[in-house]
Amino acid sequence: MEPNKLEQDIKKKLGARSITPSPMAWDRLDAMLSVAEKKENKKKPIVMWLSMAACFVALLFAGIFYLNRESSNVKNGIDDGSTVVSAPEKKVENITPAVIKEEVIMETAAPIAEVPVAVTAKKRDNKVQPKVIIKSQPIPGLPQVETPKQEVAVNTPEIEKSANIRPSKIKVDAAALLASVDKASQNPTQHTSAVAVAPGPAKKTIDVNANTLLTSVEGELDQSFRGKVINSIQKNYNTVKTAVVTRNRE
Amino acid sequence: MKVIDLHSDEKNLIKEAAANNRHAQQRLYSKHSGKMLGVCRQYIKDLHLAEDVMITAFMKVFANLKNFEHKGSFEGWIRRIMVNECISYLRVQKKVGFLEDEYYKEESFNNIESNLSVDDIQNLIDSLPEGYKMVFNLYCIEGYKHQEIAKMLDISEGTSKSQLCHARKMLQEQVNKLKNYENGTE
Repeated sequence: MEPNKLEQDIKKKLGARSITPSPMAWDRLDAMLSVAEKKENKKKPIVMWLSMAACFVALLFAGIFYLNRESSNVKNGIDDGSTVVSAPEKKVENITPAVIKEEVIMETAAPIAEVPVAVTAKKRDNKVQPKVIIKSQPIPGLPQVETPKQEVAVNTPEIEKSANIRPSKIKVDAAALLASVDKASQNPTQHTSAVAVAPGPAKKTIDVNANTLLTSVEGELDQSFRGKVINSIQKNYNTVKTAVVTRNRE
Repeated sequence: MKVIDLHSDEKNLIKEAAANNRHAQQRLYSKHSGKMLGVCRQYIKDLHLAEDVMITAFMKVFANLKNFEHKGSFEGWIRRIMVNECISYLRVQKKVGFLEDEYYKEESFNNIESNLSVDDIQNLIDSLPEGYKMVFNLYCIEGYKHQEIAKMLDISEGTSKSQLCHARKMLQEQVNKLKNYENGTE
């Protein structure tokens, strides 16, 4: 359907047509443009405030998320920034298996004699405490030495800080203890890590992996119980801290 | 040289108007408002309403001046905005109705040569139903294709063709009537 002559004529005439608008038309357009500009200027601070509010809310959510993650980590016993208390693997010789159930030699910074110790779970107020109590055992042939009791909780930095090291009533002579240990370790077949406690023909060695031991103990613990323990330890730690600060001030 | 100067002058004017320079905006308005009111008048019978629509369309022109890429003619760009504004106005007013009639005849109309004035032509177009008028304006005066018209008016291509066919038929009848009236045969 090609345009005919009439249509071409219409197109030509209407295309060239110009109708002068009323003089008020520009004034109206001017007023409308002014209003639009004002609106645009008003919008800018609103947008700025909205963006600031959005940033604040985003930061708030990020903070809440981070805190939640932290608390869940503590509940699960996973603490990224903390050190994990774990006993290094050491050979333990058990001389009297009837008396000593399991032996764990804890590596300590001080040159304390490595003595076979018993690991027991201590119950207090019907609550199982996740503590590894290291008790010293009397060794025949050695001078009576009593090492300080150490209560070590697993996987909690707070516990590590507030490890209750209760000094025993009998003081330990470290030199004598070392001498006795040196004597015992003169046997060339044994390494320094292994402690020869007493000479005897019927020696029974039990290798205890501290990590597996701790893991097995950990498995028995209840999650909520762990949280309670952590809280109680935190509370105790704060009490001790306050007491120390008060004492120092005095 | 003069053409280049004019072109660069308009370019600068557009740039200034885009930066909300009211003087530049007024100059652009003064330059194009006459023709654009004529465009609006093709679609809207009432001149005052056509002026209102033109002002609204000019608002859109100034708001979107930053988007004008200087690829085509500025007048053509404004004209397009005017046409779209007229269509949307008529749609909002629900003055347009399209019969989904896909009947059209591919026939050539009699080549009538007319010495009709612009006002007569406008009166003839005004006498058409809104649907016919719109399709006729878009196809014959603005030069849109049926596919584009169908998209703009949200109708089928066949409907657009049939509307044009009916519009042409009506126009020719009226022109013939007018001619016969002038010749005194009717």
